[in-house]
Amino acid sequence: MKHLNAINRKAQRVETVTAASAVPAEGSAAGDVVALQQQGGQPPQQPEGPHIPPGCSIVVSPGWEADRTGGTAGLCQPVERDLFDCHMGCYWPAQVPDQLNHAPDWTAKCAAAQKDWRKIDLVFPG
Amino acid sequence: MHIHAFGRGALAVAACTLTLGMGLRAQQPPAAAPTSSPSSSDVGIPITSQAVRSACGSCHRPDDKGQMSRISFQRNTPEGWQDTIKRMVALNGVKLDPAVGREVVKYLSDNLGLAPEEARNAAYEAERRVVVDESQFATEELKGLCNACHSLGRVISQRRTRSEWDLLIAMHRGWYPLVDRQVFRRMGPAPRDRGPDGRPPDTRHPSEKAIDYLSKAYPFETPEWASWSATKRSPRIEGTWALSGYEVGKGPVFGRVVIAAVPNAPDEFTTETTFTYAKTGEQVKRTGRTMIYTGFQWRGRSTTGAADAPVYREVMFVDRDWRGIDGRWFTGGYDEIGMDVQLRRAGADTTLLGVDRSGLKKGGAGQTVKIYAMNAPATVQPGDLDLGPGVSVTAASVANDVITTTVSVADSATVGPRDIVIAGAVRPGALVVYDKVDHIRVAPDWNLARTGGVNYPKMYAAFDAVAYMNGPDKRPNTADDVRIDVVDATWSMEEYTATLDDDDIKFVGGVDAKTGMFTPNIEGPNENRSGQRNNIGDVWVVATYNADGTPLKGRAHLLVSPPVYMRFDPSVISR
Repeated sequence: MKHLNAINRKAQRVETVTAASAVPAEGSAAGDVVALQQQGGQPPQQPEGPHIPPGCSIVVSPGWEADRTGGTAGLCQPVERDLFDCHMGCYWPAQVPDQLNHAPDWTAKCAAAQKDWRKIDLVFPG
Repeated sequence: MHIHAFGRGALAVAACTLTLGMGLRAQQPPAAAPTSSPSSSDVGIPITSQAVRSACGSCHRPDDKGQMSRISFQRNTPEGWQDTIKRMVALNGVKLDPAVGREVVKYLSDNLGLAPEEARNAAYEAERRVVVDESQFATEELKGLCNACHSLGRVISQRRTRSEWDLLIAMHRGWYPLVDRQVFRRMGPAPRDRGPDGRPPDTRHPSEKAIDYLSKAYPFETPEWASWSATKRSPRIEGTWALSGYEVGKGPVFGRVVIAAVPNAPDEFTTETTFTYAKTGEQVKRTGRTMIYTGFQWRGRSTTGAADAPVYREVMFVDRDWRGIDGRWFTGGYDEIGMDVQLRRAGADTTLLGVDRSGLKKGGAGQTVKIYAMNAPATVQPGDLDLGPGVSVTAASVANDVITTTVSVADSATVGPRDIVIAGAVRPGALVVYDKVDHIRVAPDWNLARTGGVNYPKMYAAFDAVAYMNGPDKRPNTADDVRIDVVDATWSMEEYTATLDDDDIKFVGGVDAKTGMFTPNIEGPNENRSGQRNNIGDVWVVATYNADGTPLKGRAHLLVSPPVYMRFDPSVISR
């Protein structure tokens, strides 16, 4: 990096953040910035141990609760924007009621989840 | 529209359907069609219950040996059987009176259940624990298949014949067709090249690999079940039990449970529980009722009787010798609030249950320690207590099974654990003499919360700050660190920086500065947030402890997630 100079604002912000994170805070590990593309491994500042909730998909990336890095920055947001697609496609059958079997009328009270999300029911199958 | 690795949304589904057609040609053929009847060599467990036969028999017809298809060839926890019955009601049109449903679950759990040795590893599933490490079960054959959608706890709390494991996967593929695409099929053709060791490649389909593994690792017939089913009986656990427990955020609890048998119901008991939070002195009384499944699985519920008090569900494990019972009592929208509980049968002797604080400062005088006991001596003099070398008792008194002591620790005392001895009772390692707190850690070191409060419950997250000495190597976070005690800390949050301008900390909710309890924000899109993102995110929960003027910090990673819209709650059984 020492031969590269930031020439636009975004690059300058990257320099600022990386320079700041090079000095670890008291009681914290060094390096507090995690790039999204740094997938396939644990972000460096996380303590050892599992960070993916059991039952959360890391295979169908991103997962419901966590993305592949164990964080939330890569998740589909807001969930209401895609919720009915998950419902229709049985995409997250353990987290979202599926239209095919358990809850064919789940969306009946709610035409657009992003506006009417207060009308979405919690489903207890059976 | 967000399109991810496999695509979501109408467009993505359409695209997926197209690629599915193309993909089928490119990849290996799907797994062989599952058999609809058990292998002829399988020997199932005959069903003698009239309730099961009439509730399930119209589809699962008994054969001449009393074996019912599917049912006789698998074993499950009570929650597993209940889930199956709920699915039959929800999707297969079964109509069942709740009382008959309970009878069916009881019979099946008792007669086609798990042995204690088999159930122990999977106990966390029924105990509804949030922070769980499942890596030991996530073998190469299972990883990415079952746990793509649900915990492996569901898998390892079952035992099935090979054809039953096969049918279980077939059931998933039938009810959730996209799952077949998402996890059960390998993308692309089967490998053709030999491995580095020169051996031919493993061309089995991923689901075949899983079936091969599951039928060996979690088989229907086991010596454990053969042994347990032969000796299994209704446990005789009535009597008085000493309770010791721990609730994250609130500290240790001590008390007693009086268990009484329900007449003419050998597996049913009522409970009268009293316990005290040692840190605050708060006293709690609860009454409850429990049912024992398979001779050892305690499923109960208890309440204080107050109208707004939460019902605690109790999932515990009765030891084979009927002298110990342990598990978890819990409540909360996601079962996330609760305590670990241990019950020990109380005899006539004095039993030491624990202490309100474990850390004793070297060179400090006038440090008060409360020792909680069962059958404490009527009177206690300082000389009756032995707290180990360098620790002298200057005053002692006893009331209501709590021994209150004042101790001094010599300047020359060696740091390290100390046993408590009184009236012939010993509590090993109950106290720790320390010179200074070197570092603190937050436990658990990661946690999960969920937004809620409008349509869905909030999922809270509790934390403890734990003080440590660095140990002989003088370095923090190594194996030789010495745990001193849970300490009072000041709680705050820091940004977990995953992107530029990460601002999760403004939206996810807040942590109580005194208790460390995290309360999430409400669910739903937030119009004040860029992209109307939900109030989700990940942050550090930070504990700051004042160690004689030096602030020490520890932190934990907290994931704040959206609600779960579908709840396959396995613990309704105790309701």
